[in-house]
Order: sequence, then structure tokens, then C-alpha cells
Amino acid sequence: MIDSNLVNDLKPRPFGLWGRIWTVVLVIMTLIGIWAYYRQIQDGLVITGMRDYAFWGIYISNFVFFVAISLVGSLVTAILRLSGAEWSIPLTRISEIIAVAAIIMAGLTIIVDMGRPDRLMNLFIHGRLQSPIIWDVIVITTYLFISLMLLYFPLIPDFAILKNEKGNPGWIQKGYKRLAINWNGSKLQEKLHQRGIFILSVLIIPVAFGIHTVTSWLFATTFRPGWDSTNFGAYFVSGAFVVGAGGVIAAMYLLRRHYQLEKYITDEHFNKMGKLLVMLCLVYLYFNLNEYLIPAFKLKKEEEIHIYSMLFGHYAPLFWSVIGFGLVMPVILLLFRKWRRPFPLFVISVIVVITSWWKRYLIVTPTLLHPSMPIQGVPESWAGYSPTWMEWAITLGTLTMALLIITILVRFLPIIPIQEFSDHMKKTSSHES
Amino acid sequence: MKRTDNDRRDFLKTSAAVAGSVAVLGLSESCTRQKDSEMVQILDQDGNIIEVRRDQVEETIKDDIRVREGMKNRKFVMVIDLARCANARKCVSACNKMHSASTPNDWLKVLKMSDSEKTAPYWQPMLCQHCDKPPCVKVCPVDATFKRRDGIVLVDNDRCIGCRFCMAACPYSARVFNWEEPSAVADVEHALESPETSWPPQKGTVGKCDFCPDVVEKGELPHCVTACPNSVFFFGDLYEDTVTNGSETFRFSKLIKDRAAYREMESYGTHPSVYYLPPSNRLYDFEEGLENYSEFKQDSLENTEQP
Amino acid sequence: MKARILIFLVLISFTVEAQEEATVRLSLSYKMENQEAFLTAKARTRVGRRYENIHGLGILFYTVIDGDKKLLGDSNTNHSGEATMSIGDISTLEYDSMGMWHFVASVENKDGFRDVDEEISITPIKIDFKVEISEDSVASVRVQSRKSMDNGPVSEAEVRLYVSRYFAPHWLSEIEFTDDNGEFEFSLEEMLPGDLDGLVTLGIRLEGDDTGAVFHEEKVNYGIPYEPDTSFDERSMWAPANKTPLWLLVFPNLIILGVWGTLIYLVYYLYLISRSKQ
Repeated sequence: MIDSNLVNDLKPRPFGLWGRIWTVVLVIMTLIGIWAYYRQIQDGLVITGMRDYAFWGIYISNFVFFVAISLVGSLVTAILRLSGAEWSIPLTRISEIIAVAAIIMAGLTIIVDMGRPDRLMNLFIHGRLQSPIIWDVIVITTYLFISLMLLYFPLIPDFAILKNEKGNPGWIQKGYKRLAINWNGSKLQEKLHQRGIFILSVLIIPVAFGIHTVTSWLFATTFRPGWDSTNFGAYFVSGAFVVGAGGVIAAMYLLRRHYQLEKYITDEHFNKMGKLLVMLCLVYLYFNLNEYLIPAFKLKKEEEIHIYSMLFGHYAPLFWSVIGFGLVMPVILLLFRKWRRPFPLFVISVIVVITSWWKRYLIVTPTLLHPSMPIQGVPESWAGYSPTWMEWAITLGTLTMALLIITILVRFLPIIPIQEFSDHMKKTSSHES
Repeated sequence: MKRTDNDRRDFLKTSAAVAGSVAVLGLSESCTRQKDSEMVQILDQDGNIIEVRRDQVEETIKDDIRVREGMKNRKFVMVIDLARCANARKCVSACNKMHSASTPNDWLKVLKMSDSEKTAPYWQPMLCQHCDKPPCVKVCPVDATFKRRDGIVLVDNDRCIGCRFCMAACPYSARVFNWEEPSAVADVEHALESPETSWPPQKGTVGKCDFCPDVVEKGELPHCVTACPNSVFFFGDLYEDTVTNGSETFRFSKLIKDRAAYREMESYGTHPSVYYLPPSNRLYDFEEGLENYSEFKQDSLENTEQP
Repeated sequence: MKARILIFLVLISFTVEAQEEATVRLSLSYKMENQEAFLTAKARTRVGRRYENIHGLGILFYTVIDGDKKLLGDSNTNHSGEATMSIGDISTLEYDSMGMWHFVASVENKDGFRDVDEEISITPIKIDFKVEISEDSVASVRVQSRKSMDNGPVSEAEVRLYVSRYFAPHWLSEIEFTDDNGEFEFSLEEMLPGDLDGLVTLGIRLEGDDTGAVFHEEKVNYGIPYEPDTSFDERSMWAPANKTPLWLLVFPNLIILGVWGTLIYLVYYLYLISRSKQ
């Protein structure tokens, strides 16, 4: 039997005042984004700052960001689960929710960037397997489905617990009952359940690597300086884990505070996630070193212009901020235990997530402004790129929509897996005795 | 005018879809003569509903296959003599006129090139290189841009989803994008809707130099070739080993050999169909072209929402 | 729709000028290609300081024998202001006592244009064209031209050898002149790029006094067949979806099947769970 205190602590609750304000703000921001997108459909991509040279901008950066952050699901749930790090159990639900929200938004963001979203079906009618975009379509769809499954499987016993709880409108209870699919905790069910989660955890790892590697190939399969790299797959995957870990830390801090979950998400969790973030940042720094040092050593003509603009030129302030605040500072600070305490770690994580977004911007746009043929015969503004307000509104709209999806899921799903956590507690207490 | 244009296009699409299903019907059943002569309604190019015979509709669908296959037993090449280019820009204006395009959406640009500080500057007409291994075609997810048997790379504006991956893949920056509803007006001769005329340009899709297959099919030279006052451009069939600018005709292989021709960015393995003759023994001083040159142009696209 | 409006505008602009009828500058030329003769009339008119081509103007073509005018046909000018018509069977076309044809092109009763005509006289000739290829692949091309009336030689006529190409003839010789017998012999040392069957179309352009430009072409077996590029028919990374490389069909689909097969299996798990009794 499950401890009723545990259920009481962890069951989803209606929003309080702050929850409602938060939701309303998100809804408004999202609606502004949708309105701007409606304008974009009417007038075309001319409302953005993109033009013939900088033809990919913050939409694509944002897409890469979403794909990156969605990898957290596989990191925390699958990799940590398979490596037997049971301390991560209270974090699995949060990371899976973030993963699902991010991958849905990745799919929508790429549609936002399309010149002809009305012809989306052409991808299925006329799809060519030779194109990395088709690979991306396939792998994103697959990853979305696996993520949903990996969110749902551990939820089944929780739904069975929640369906007996009171205090919710009937339709929600009905939903819980439907989703609990006759869970009764029988031996067979347990066995199928355990095996299902195990298979999913194994399966999601290659698919997660696949999704971000293929996304990196959208760039690496071209001849352009800064993209033409064999390092790109590993570079993207390692970067994704950094932003994913940052995202989970930020989310667990906020949820712990808001729902008073200090008993379940302990300081030790922050300590461990802090250490993990150091390791991930170091790996990503290593790939960054490869990515910039090698072309900078060789200085091929086109790479030289690109590298120069990054390290010393127009993009240098942004570049060094991203490297400094997003990677070097976390590594140095988080070596000290006091910085791995919840609040400092939360602040660092938020900085990591924000700089990670700008890191994607630095990957996408500067390369496009350093083409092989000189930029001539176009308006001078086309030789640069500055996103318009409309473009920012749409981009912010996608980010708030992701947060909205997370918020809605948090409202109806237990943030910490009740059944799994309870099993885990029983196991550890029997070990101790 | 724009509005009606859209309506017309939509209507055409609908009727094309109807025509498609009609054709499938016609193919699946054995076509008797009677069925062939049955009349179906369709929209003509002037926007009038006309009745045509069912077998003629099938003809249109066969036409789509023909457009994607290209001319048999031909392989087109272009040779550009940089020694003759003086940035007269008549190629640009002719190209824009015949394709109802306008700056800054030029499909053809004359670039001021200077390879390094000490090497001599020169003018280089830059257009789609119609590569034999086109990176743009490789990455297109929906087969909207395609390589034909005759070597020409075209864009199907009815299929393009506007992902711009082809623009990223093209190292020659040969592709442009219709960021807004194109304000182009059709010339009488170019009202035919086809990837072969690249007409009509559509909002949210890419465009590029198409080697003018509609006139090439008639045995005429592309517009940039005929417009050039300095006879810079040569065009011809690789199988015939002959290129011409209208007034002079050369054995392609001999011209290439004698003048030490090269292709742009050979190291990328794209195998372009455009060959450049190096700017040696020039007919014009480089400085003559500066008169027509400005690095940047006026912005014609509205962009009111700048922060 | 637009096309019609444009044509309409063009018509209007001409009718406006009709107040004061414009003078048409007409020029007429004759050309014979492989026994088919063409008349081309070019119509221009003065607009301001420049001459401009007249588009869509009807031109009538006549043949005149001893003062008798006989209509051959009519044709409208194109964008270049040129109207071309084929004369048809020239073997039945009569010539006058001097052995000459007389052709007239005229503009008659056209709104906005004064009537005008232009005449040319042509001496009809016959071409004899022989190609002999020796064993060491040297081709000799013998050309002989004679007047149709009395088989007399057409001497001192310009003659030039070419190979017919898609866009324009490729000249293989300088301009030469026929001798007193109306003959000239060209010699080709090397085979030419030909079609798939190794055929090339050799031709000559001959022009004497009053003969007009006479072209004669013949397909001869003097070509090197080309290597056709078969890449279009092959499965490749550049091909459309129906020609995807096989490895690219096999491996990704195996992966897709493997992953989605497992996922469907897991959905089946869900079904089993929902069916399981206590």
C-alpha cells in the first residue's frame, strides 16, 4: 500500500493565485505569438528580419534549442535509470514533461519557419529519403512518440492511485480512470510494466542521439564555413545535455518551492545535478574546443572570416559571453559545494539555459553571413541580420507555449512519480534495516 | 489584381486536381475512343472556363513528366568569358525582364571579384551553375527542385515548401527566396505556368536561374546570352561539343582547352555546367565596369517592423 | 486576362497613330533550305527618332511573272517584326524568260499604315552536294551549283561549309568561291562530334548574284557518337524519390521498422496490462 501522506504531498493540485497569474501571462504571450504568426501567414516571411543571405534566423536557432532541451528526457530518465542512479527517480517525471513539451514545440517551430506551411503534407506525399530534412521528420516523430510513452508508462500506477483521490472535478477523475487502464498491481502487470520501461529506456537513447545528430546534419551536410564539420553530431548532442540539465534544475527548483517538495527533491539532488552539470559542461567545452580551435589553426580563407568575426569581430561579445557565462563560469563555480546549493545552482542553471539559446543563434546565423561568394547587389541591410519584433513575438510565443504545455501537464500529473518513489523508499528502508 | 491572381491560381490548382483524378480514372479503365472524346471543364490561361477533351487533360499530366525529364539527347553547358565582361549588366536586366523579376531578387548577378589583395579584380556573372551533382537537389525534401536529363536544374513552385535548405546547400548563393507575394506581371509570352518558365513566382518559395528551358526548347539562346553586348556568354549542347553566343560558334572542348577554362569551386565536387574563361587578355579595362557598380541596392521589400 | 489587355493596349497605341498613317519600312529576303524556299519580310516603322519592329502586321506575298501577280500567301509579323512564309513546292514555280523569280511582299489596306510593297528577284539554282569519306576518315565535300533554267554553272558564288548544331551552324571553313564550273571542294581531316548513331549534318551556305542564301544540308556518317550521360536513370542522391539509392531504402527502413516495431510491441503491452485481472 502507498503511504497516504505521500499521495497527499504529491498529488496534483489546482493552481493557487500565483499559478493562475503565471498561466494567464503565458496564455497572453502565446496569443501574441499566434497573432504574429497569423500576420506572417498573411504577408509571408517578409515580416521577419530574414533575407536571401541570412535566410535562417532565430526560428531555426529556436528549433535547435527545443530539440536540444528535449534530450533531457533521455538523459535523466534513461541514462541515469539504466546506470542505476536511483536518486534521480524524483526527477524523471519533470524531465520527461520538459522533453515532451520541447519536442512538440520543436515540431511546431520548424513549421513556423516554413515558407509554405500549407504544403506540409508534401513531406509525406513527395518525401525523398535522400534529404536530411526527411530524416529529421522521421526521427522527430519517433522521438515524440517514445517520449510520450516514456512519460505514460511510469504514470499508469500513479493514475490508478489518483483515480481514487477526491477533490477534483468528475471529468478529471474520469480521465485518470481511463488512463489507469485497469491497473491493479498484479504480478503480470508489474512485469510488463517494468519491462516496458526498461525497453523504452534503452530505445530512447539511440533515438535521442539520432534526433540531435540529424538536426546537426541539417547544417553539417552543407559546404558553409562553421557548419562544414565532422564534429557536429557529437558537438550538438553534448550541448543538448548541458541545456537539458540546466532546464531540469531550473524546473525542479521552481516546482520544489511552489509545491513545498523539499522532502522529495532534496538539497542532495541539487548537489548531484550540479556535479552532473559540471561534467556535461566540460564535455561540451571539449567539443567547442575542437569546433573552433581546429579551423582557427588552419585558417582556410572562408573559415578565417567566420572565426575572426566570432572570436574578435562583430559576434565576439556574444560569443565570449556564451562561452564565459554559459560554460566556463558554471564549471568553476560548481566545483565548490556552496554553489551547488539549490538557489545558486538555480541561478546558474537559468544562465546556462539562456546562454544555450544564444549559442544556437551563434551556430545558425553568422555562418550564413559569410558565404563563399561575396554579398553584393542586395540592400545593405541584407548583409546583416536583425530579427524583427514580429519574429521575436513568434519566438517568445513558442517558448511560452512550451512553458504552457509544461504547466498544464504539471497541473494534472504528479510531478514526482508516486508509485516509483514509494517502491524506492521501501527498498532503501529494507536495505537499512 | 493580386487577389484575382490568387483566386485564379487556386482555381487552376483545383481544376488540375480534378484533371488528375480524371486522368487516373481514364488510365485505370481502358480508354475507349468515346471516353477520350468526352468533354471536361478546365480553366485556360486567360482565366476562362473552357471545355477540353479528356485525352487532352491526360496530355497535361504527361507534360508534367516531360518537364521533369527534360530534353532527350541534349546536355546544356554555358561558357562565360570573363575577359569580355565589362559589367554592362544587360544580362541582369534582360533576365529580370523576361522572368518578371526585379532587384534585389536577381537570379543573375555580376559580382565584383578580387581573389586576393594583389591579384587583379574582375567582373564575374554569377548564376545557377546547373551542377551535375547539385547539392540543392540532394537536400530537397520534397523533390521540388530537380535535375533533368538535359542537365537543367529547375524549381517546381507548386511543390516547394519553403524550407530554404537548398539555399543553405548551394555554395554559389544562386538561389533567392520570395519573402513576400511577388509583384511580378506576366509578359504575354510567359503566361504559361510551368517550372520551365519558372512562372508564376510564388510567395514563400525559392527561385533561381533556370537556363530558360522554354526558349532553349525552341532552339533559341537564353536571354542573358542574347542580351549581352560584349558576347560574354556562350551556350550550347555538350553532346554536340559546340557553344555559341549567337554570332560566334566554337568547339566547346577546344575553347575550354585553349582558354584554360575552370569551374567555380571545383573542390566541392558539384560538377557545374557553367565554365569560366579566365580574365586574361581582357577586351575592357576593369575600371570601365565601375560606372555601373554599387555594392548594395535599395531595399524594395517593406520591412516596417524593424526594432 | 493580362495577355489580352496587353495586346489590346498595343492595338490602341497603333490606332492612335492611325490619325496620320505611318510609313512601313519593308525589306524582303529569300532563303532556301534543302529545297524548301522561304520569304521573310521585315517590317519596321519610325517611332520618334528610332525605327521599331512592328508586331502583328499582316504581310501578303506574291510571285510576279511577266506582269502577272499571283498571291502566294500571307503571314503576320512576330516580335522581331518578321513575317516568314514557305513558298511550298518550288519545282512547279515558274520563272520568267531570264530564268528568274520575282517576289513581292506588300502591306495592303492596313489601318494606320500606308500601302507599301517591296520586290526581289531571285535566280533559282540547284545544288549538288556529295560527301566522300576515305578509309583514313578524311571527308571531301564537293559542291556544285547550277542554274535551274539552263544548268549553267553559278560561278564566283560565296560558299561556306558548316556542321548543323542545335542553336547555330558551326562554320568549318572560311568563305570560299565557286570556280568556273560552279564547283568547290572542301576537305575535312577529322571526324566531328555526332549523334548516338555517329551521324552529323553537314551543310553549305551558298550565295551568288541574285540567288539569295541557299542552304543545303545532308546527314552523313562522319560523326563520333557521344557518350550519353546516364546519371538521370540511375539511383542516386540527386534523383527523385522513386530513384532513391537502395542502401538508403534498406537501412533507414530497417531502423524505422525496428524502432516502430518495438513501439507497437509496447503498445501491445499496454493492451495486455489493461486486460490483466487481479
